[in-house]
Amino acid sequence: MAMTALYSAQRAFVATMFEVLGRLIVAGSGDPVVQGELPGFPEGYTIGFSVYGDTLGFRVARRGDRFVPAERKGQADLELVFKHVSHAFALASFQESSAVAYANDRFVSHGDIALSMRFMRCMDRIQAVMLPPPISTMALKSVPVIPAAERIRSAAGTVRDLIRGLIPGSAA
Amino acid sequence: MSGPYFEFFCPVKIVAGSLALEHMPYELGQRGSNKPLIVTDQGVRAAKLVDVVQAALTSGGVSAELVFDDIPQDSSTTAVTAIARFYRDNRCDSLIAIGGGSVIDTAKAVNILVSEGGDDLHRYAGTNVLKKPLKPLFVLPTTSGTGSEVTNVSVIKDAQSGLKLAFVSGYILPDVAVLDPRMTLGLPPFFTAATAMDALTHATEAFTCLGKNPISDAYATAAIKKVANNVLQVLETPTDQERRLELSVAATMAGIAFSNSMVGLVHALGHTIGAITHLPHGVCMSVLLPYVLEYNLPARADVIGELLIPLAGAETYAKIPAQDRGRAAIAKIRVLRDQLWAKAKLPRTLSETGRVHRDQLPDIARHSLNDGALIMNPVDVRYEDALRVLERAF
Repeated sequence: MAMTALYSAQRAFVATMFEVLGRLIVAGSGDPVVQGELPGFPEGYTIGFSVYGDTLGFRVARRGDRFVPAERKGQADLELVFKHVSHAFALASFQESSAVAYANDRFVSHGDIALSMRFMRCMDRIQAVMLPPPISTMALKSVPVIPAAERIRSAAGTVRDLIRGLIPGSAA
Repeated sequence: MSGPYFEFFCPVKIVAGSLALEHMPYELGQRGSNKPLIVTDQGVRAAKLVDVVQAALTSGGVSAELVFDDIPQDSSTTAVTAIARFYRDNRCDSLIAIGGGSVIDTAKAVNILVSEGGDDLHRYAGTNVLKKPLKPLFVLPTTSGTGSEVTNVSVIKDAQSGLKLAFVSGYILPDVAVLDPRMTLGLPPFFTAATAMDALTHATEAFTCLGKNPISDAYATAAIKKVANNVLQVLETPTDQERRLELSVAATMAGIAFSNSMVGLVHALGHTIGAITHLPHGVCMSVLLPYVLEYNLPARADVIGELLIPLAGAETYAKIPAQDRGRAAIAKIRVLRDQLWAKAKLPRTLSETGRVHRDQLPDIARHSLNDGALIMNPVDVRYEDALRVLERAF
């Protein structure tokens, strides 16, 4: 019973964090570094996060010069599959960085390896800009030095697009 | 906090040592096979290594006349399809690969087609696409470096697009790896040195990168010790079968290590240099290894320092203070490279290869960032970092 409660709590946390992460990727795609990576993805290319044996997950797609939310149907072109809710929880709660989670076989990546590296760089950049340093040091292998002005400008843009994305009928 | 965790997988039967080839009839019989197709290349055929294998098979009651020996250096889907057709036309029941990395990768891909059916290899590209065991595959490496006989990967060039197709699956792993010293006796000094350094790099990266685990560590350190203790002696006495076998076993152990813990920046840069300049993989590994270890040293000094035991022995390790062992291990590798340069002209820098130009370095650095091996490198690598390592290796 206690275990069930723990898993339920972890699952709820992961569901929330997936929602946040999905929205951050979409909103953060205006960042200049992410903009530099985007043309490397084929138009319409889909990227998904999911959990094996569970319905949890989210999906984004490249449309023009942005990542946009995408419908979860079939397997994404690049799908990162966590083997269990607990593994997704360890990553989402910053107990394991994405590199350590991958080294520990917590998730598997289905899709093009070069594009998965490109997507990792986008994720790293968004996290480096948006997360407070104590948390970004846990989430990333190393935190890049981003000049304050650049960081504020990028974060402001991401927050603006994040808010826009929350308003029904408004495209982020 | 989340605790340590690892996975380890190697179902390949290793048949190694004196008269290992003569064990093949029995091993084939155990797998219900008596009509194998031998796949190899012209170089191996010319070196008469196929004859030795055929003699061992026929004397053990196995038909061994079916040979496909036209695998090119840079194998493609065209070769794979042609071999699969040859296999089906002759109603073969298993595959024996004799050669280096290209032959072994080709045989793995052929096994996908002859087991799954059809001629479209693209359907099986990617990770974990295969869902059932394939036909029996025996691998006889003729170099001591790639470790392909124990890896779950095959990379084949798409004849149409020119792009590399990667096939990753536990089912691709060969059933049996046969390590017989007769298979590597004729390997020229340069390739003996280059492939040994390839094995050393596999083991070193397996031991120093993020995916390391206690079991892969055991394989990696044993492999490093075998290379360090035997490569110069083999160059001195190329006919020494025992030491040749030691290098083959080292390559296999390094292969088991890195296929379970992955590799890092040396491979990310090396793959790109190979793709752009066609420099042999082992040469890329040997040139880059000390420079990448220096790059990773600040974050990994303790782990790199542990390399000193298999590289130089416990006595040397004990004499050097803990904080200096990482640098001492790298220095030991540099000395080994100097000796290999003296004995086999194995290049120590990119400029010594004569195949890499300084103006190619930015392009190499840029493309390397998309290589999956970077995930496991202990230190993050950005364009400027990759370029700096390449500049130093030049």
